[in-house]
Amino acid sequence: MLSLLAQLLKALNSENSSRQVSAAIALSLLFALSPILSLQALLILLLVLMVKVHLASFIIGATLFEGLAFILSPVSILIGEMLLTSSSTSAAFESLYQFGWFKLGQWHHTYNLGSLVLGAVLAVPVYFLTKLLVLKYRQHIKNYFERLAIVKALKATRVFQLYQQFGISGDK
Amino acid sequence: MHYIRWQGAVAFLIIIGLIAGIAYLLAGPIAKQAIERYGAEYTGAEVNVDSVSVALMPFGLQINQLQATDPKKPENNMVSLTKADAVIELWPLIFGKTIIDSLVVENLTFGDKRQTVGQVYRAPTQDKSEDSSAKSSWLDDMQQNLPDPQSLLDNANLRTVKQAKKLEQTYATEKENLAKIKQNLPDKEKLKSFEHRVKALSKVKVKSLADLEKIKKDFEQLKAEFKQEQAQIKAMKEQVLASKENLATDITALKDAPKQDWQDISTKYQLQTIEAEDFAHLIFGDKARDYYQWAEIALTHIKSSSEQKASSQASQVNDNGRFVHFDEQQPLPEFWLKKAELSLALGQGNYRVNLEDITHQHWLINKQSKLNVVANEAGKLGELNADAQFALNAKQVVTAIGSWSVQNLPLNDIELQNSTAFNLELVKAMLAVVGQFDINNGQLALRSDFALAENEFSGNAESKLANILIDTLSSTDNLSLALSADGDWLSPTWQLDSSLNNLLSDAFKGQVSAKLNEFQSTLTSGLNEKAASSLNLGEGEMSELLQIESLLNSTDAAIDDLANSDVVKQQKKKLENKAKDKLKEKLGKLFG
Repeated sequence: MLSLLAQLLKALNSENSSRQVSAAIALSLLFALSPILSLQALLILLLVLMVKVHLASFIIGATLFEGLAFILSPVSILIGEMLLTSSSTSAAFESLYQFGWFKLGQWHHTYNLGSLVLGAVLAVPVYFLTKLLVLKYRQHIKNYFERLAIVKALKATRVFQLYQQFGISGDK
Repeated sequence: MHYIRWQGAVAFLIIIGLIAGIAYLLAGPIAKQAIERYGAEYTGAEVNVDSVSVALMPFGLQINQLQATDPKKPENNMVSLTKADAVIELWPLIFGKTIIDSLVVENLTFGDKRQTVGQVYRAPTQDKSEDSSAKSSWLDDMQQNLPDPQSLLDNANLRTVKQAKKLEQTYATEKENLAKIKQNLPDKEKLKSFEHRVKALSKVKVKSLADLEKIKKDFEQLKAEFKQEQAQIKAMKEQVLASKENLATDITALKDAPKQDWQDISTKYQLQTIEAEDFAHLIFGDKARDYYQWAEIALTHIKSSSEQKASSQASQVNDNGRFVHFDEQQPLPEFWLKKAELSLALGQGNYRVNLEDITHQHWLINKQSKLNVVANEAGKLGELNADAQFALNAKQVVTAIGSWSVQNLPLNDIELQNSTAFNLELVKAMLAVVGQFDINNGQLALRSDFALAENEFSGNAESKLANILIDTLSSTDNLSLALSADGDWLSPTWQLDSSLNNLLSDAFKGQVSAKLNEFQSTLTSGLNEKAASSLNLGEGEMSELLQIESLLNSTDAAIDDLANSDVVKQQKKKLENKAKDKLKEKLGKLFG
């Protein structure tokens, strides 16, 4: 866990991974809200592995958002129930129900469908918010820390130079 | 391509592939464990499977050497098979629908011996056929000789005796009441005195209105006395009526008592069973029930499983959300066995069973389930050919049709009755059966004719009646039985008619009827005698009550007449006439 945090800090401090970190956090929210053993969770995992997003951020985000998923589960169920039973949308879902993949994804289950929709809706603002926070962090907090005498002293040490030499790249 | 991480996709596919590979490798052992575990839970006894292999293309299961212990007889299997090979459609299976394209079962056997005794985890539930054995043990319970009529008549618990005592008690009570009534009855002198007093009033000479008023007053006083007397008569009449009713009830009960006593005695000593003459049912009924139970278990299971499915679908709501099911445009049934070939080993021979479109949701496939059983092994199974088709509609109403024929089926050593007092065995016979059935809107109509030829029965019994039965069966070469059933297909009414009934009935009539009639007449006349003396008492009392009732009625009517007498009116008229005469006289004198 400590190494994951270190990787996250490194990614925050690096110059080119703000979108990767934001996308990872947004996807981690979508993943955390989905039932763990579901087709949508599996597809998100495949996406995370295939697209260059920051893996450590995804894992930390998914862990933190698990708690949020528990709190939001009644909301997910309510959204799923409304979508599947409302007269305006149920016809569309009835058409989708005729396809095997729809039933395989169990999107005719109120929690599965609700969590997917809620996750997708929340993922967009979370992406932009995270991106903004990363940039703000780099602008203000990173510079403030780098100006501190103790940080300057630490950077001058041989241990830090070694760490920079063998450190893990933040763009994974 | 800058955003794609190919190594991640490869890692993902490798992980998924590994999981699928491990699942495939473990599928066989997992399926074996599942069959053994859930099979044991379902049957309540040990289930063994030698091995299970899973095929991918096409997806299928092969079960080798399955044995399910019979919980009633752990040394035997309830069912066993050498090999079952099923090809299953994988895609519908993911959605919980079992569509079996083909099933081949080799050497399906019922009740074969196990190599080792199987473990029983749950005691078997009480079987219906065990209850019926109690009913069929009529010959055990039957008395070897008819009871002595005198000892029966001495029994104080007879209804006749009890009812006679009750009538005597009622008689004694009512006699006392009668004596009281007699004491209080208005005598003839009193009635005469009333008449005299009324007459006297009518003879009084009325000269003035004051005289008329006095007569009126005296008559009112007399009427008050009449009322008092009539009230007493009314009370007596009510008492007489109650006494009459009490006696009449007890007399009727006593008259019926000998008949009821005879019914009780004939039930107790199974004499009605002899009169019923349904011997075929008593002898072959258990066997017929055994065979029917197989069909009943299968059919009720199909029905209940579909009902359970329906109810479970409706109750999938919980705190974690729920499934919302929509109508499918092309729905598949929950279970559909498209084609199956079973090799069934029963007794000494093999049957070939072909099944087509077996499901409990026929309305979804628009086809009927078909069943065909064939055996052609002369000397072992005879020639058997049975066909049946059935279908359930969406309301779970069954429609079915079927027919069967068996020729030259040898029967050997079939135990028909086995109890301490009566054993009967069909040593050998040649059976021919022809039958058909149909179920229309859940109503069954079944008829099957059995013809037994070259019969040989053997048996022994303690009672005379059972010995007659064995002798009669032994002396017949041919026997015919007609089994029929109708009514609701899940609880039909069975009938078993046989030439045996007539044969046995004649034999019994010859040997038993005379004695039975003599016994009945002795007993009935004894019972009637017991009732007679009490009846005489009761009826004597009744006639006396009738006399008193008529006396009370006539007295009441006489007093009524006196009370309604127009003595006052007559006297008034006389006074008016007198006044008129006087007036005429005076007017005559005036106008001269």
